[in-house]
Amino acid sequence: MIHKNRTLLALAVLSVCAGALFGPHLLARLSPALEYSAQGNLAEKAVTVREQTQRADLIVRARIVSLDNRILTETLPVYAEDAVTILEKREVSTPFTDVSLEILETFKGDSAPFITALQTGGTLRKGRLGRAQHFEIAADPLFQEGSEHILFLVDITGDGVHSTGRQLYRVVNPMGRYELEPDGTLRGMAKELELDVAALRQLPQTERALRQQIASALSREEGNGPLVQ
Amino acid sequence: MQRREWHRTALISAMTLVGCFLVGTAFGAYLGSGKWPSSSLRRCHLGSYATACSNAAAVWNNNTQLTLGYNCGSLNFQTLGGNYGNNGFFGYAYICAGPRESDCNDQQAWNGTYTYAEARNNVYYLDSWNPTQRQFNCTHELGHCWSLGHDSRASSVMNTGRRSTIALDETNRANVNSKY
Repeated sequence: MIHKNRTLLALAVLSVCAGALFGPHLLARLSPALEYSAQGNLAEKAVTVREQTQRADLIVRARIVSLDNRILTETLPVYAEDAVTILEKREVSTPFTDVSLEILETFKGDSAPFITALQTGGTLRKGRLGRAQHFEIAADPLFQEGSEHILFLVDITGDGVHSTGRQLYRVVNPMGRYELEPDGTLRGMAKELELDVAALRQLPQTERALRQQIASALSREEGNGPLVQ
Repeated sequence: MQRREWHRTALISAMTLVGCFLVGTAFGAYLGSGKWPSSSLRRCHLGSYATACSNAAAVWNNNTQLTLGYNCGSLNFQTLGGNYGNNGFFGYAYICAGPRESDCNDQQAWNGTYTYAEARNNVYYLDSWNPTQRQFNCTHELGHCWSLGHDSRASSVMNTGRRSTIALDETNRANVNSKY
């Protein structure tokens, strides 16, 4: 009887210790991801379909096949207030997502049947057992698997950070992604980018209008020869 | 007479407050209704462009009611210069609100009480820029950290197309000062 009580006591002590040790990690692991949403300063200013067409290396209708989370970790110097003295070095991690696309139709450029596009954002976990942190740019939310889009893409193969040794694309900017809804309407990113009214008026509202604007921009491009950005 | 003076002061103060609010809302100036709990904030810098971001922080410090200090041991926000590759962004900023970063969701964080922010500058693009342009980018990203949104005024540091703008315009100042 005494032996049994001791065993039970030992088990209880072990449980409490294990709970204290692993409980917070387990809770963190099981908790919903923290959501981070950033404001981005776009490198490409193309807004209208004509501007996007000029800038794009590839214009396609594509289906999102899969999303692969990838973490970029840099070791950065931490500076003192004088902006010269280095206090220490710290690792900084940034999540990115490789988006696999099945090409359904090509409007401009030559494409393989499946290509990969880069998106900034994804999921980051602080430590192996830490709570997940979901991060994305507000105007360029991560694609959803199975969704269909018309995309204006630039070839970023060889950028030295994401694409060494593989072919990689990204959308020109969030204005270069139009999600195709089943009823023929489009979901663009103009609202998220808070564009002015004049720019908004030029944007297509339906898939049909988008196709017409692409065809018009391409014929103009062919007529005028190569266009400079 | 004294009472009349008091009324006049109260009226001017009220009009100033309403004016600041109208300026803010008319230009869609803010990313949310939230703010930092204090106008005194501490920064730490990691990576490239330490001088550009130091100058950018000084611009906000010297021209608004924000008091920006520097302390990497106890910081409110970070400025960073890292290489994020050809990802289409010169830089970006994000903010968290709530105790222990408990909520960094954009719907709530920009409307909450800010606890942490980061202003990131992309070395991939900025390495070919001159120091003034780098300072612009850091000034711009820091503006987001005080919840300023993008705008299209030619003189504004929150206009993404004006790489040579490093001074705050009257509206930039008013928008920050109306919160702090």
